[in-house]
Amino acid sequence: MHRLALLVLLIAPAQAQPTDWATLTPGLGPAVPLAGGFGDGPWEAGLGAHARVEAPLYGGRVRAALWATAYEDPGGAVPGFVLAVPTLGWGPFVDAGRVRLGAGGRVGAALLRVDDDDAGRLQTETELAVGAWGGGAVRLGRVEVWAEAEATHLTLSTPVTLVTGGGGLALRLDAPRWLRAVLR
Amino acid sequence: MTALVLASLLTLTPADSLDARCPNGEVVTRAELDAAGATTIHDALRLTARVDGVTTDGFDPIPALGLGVPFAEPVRVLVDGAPAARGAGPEPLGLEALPIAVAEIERVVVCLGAGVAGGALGGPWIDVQTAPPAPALAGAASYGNESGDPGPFRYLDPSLPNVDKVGPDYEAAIVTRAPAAVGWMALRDRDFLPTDPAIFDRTRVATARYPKRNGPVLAVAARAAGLRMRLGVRWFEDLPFLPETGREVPLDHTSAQATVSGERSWGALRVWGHGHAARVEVDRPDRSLVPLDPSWDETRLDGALAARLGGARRSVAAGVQAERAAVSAGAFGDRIAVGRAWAEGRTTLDGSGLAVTLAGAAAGGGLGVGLVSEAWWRPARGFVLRAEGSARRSLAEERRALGVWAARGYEGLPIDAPEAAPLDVARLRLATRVDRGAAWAEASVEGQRAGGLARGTAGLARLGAGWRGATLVLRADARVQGALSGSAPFREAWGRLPRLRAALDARAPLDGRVALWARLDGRSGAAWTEGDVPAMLLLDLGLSKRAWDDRLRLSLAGRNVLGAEERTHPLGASLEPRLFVRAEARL
Repeated sequence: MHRLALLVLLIAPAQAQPTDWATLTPGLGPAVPLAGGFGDGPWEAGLGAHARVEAPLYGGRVRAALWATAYEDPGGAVPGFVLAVPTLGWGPFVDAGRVRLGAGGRVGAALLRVDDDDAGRLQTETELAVGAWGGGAVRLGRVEVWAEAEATHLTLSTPVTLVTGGGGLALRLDAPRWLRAVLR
Repeated sequence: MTALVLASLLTLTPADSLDARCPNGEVVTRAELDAAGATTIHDALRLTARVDGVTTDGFDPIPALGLGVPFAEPVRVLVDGAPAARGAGPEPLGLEALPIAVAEIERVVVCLGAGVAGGALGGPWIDVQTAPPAPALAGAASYGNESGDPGPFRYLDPSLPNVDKVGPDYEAAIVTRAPAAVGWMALRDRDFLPTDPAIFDRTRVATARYPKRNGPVLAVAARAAGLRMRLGVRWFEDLPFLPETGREVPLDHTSAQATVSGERSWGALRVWGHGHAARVEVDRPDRSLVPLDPSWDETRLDGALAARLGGARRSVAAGVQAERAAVSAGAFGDRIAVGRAWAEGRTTLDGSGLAVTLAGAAAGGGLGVGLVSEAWWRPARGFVLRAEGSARRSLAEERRALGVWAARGYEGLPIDAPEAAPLDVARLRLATRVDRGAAWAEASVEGQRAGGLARGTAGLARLGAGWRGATLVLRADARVQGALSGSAPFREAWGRLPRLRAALDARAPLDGRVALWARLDGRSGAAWTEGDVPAMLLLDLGLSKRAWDDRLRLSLAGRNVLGAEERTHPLGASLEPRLFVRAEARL
């Protein structure tokens, strides 16, 4: 069995690689925190959402993604906030029949909006975000069912690393010729 | 006809080109700026190994070079080979005050050198060379952020400070073309918050509004029939650090400048020159809470004409230049006029060559002279040996730093060291370069002897190597420099620059549409009278992507991603990891 799996992994990259930007695969799904709250703070995350668009590029897949979730302090001592993390990433993948396994890195921004009515305070903040993901997808025709784990590091003055799990559906579309021309 | 420019030498034969006149110079190309994700003009200096930039907030590092008495002689900045006005009087002399859009920059040449440039001989200079930014229309937006914001944690610890934000910055340009001419107009708007914890206590109490450095620049340029014309305007609400006061001071900058330059040939005779006029006003704004008045009005006029007779093997050249600066600052008013003349002979034999330049400058009854000789020998294919020797006395009137005006009666800001003395610098430099296929290596040693402002002897040694492949370009540089002997002010000036510096630069253009770039830059610490600056190891990264047949350019740039303590001034900010995004359209 192990030999078979190894053979699949070895053969998979040798399969014909999709042309760069040949397809666009938008996907959407929930994201749930796998570890704790927000650093050492009192905030706890609610259910978040993850949206992304993927395309084949340079032998891997490029991904523009947006993850957003709300954090609240159950005790109500400090204001809650909404965290949105737009990122751009790339990662290699292997195809094994209907299954695709992949991992990658990403970089982007963490946008925070604090629920604070005090006009004298900054209500929004932008910070650097870097992260990595690993997961897979099962192809059912043009529809893909995907599941992943992600780690996102926010370079705040008190650094925070957030781990989330997510899954959802994606739809593989052929990129229009004009769009491929623009992206190339 | 004949308003002309030294910059037009760029379009001439290699023997006459500006690069050839600066054999020890460093060039940063548009491709390198793109790959590095450059969002500012001074980003180009970060890509060089010989220029050290000094900044308190990261907005606009002041270029400093290891030459003579560092910081004593301001680096001259040229645009397309002709003089360009940056700051005036109390204003710091970085590159961001230039009325140039980043999208216009085609390449940047940095020269330590001794030759003629911009109509004058000697002194370090930086030439920002421009080109039409697009076929017809251009637009760009960039944004940067430094890590370390408190985010929601400020509710748990109210003492956590906010950190700097860079941008959003915007650029736009329109280009018009005719069969034999091109013209364009470019607009750039910058925005920066100098709120780093290290400086916030100074900037917060200096201004009645939230600390900010922002404003637009506008450039109009045209080229036709060997002529270049450029008009630049800048309006800036600024909050720069003024060394004379040891703090940030609000000021409003308004300036306008115009340059006409070009060249023309008649057989073996080539004539070139420039005319430059600038008006720079620095005012104390109503928002200023600092009890100092940096007001300064300055008008500059500069004209140069030069001619070369002969071919690539043998030529003689001569030029004259005249410049005048008139200043009004409160009750102070004065003017300085400088006249210069130079002559050069150049001969090239099989595999070797010799050039000698003699120059003189006169101002206020003083006389400065300079002698430069360059000799080169190619003993084998791809192997060059070069020797340069120079001796130059520059008059205080040529430097026109604030200390020079203070020596003439300016009392607007407290100046510790009025400067009236000339600066004497003698240099001897030996260099070699070997090219083998796609690889190259170079080495140089240099000795300098300075007198006048401060006396002493300094030494510089440099090693460089590189390799250029189809999809990967590697470059390595290492240098050591410092005072060997001399007076305390001389040693102190050299001590402010890193003694050791080494950089490894890798650029992968891949398929021409995507480029990856990384630069590892290590610098030793430096010592100022106000305190020490730490050694640092900086890793910068860049990712750029061109799309739609190069009409769209997207870049992502990381600076100091390892999180080293990046600081170049003892009273300045420690610049944390920064991320910059730039989107550009060239239609």
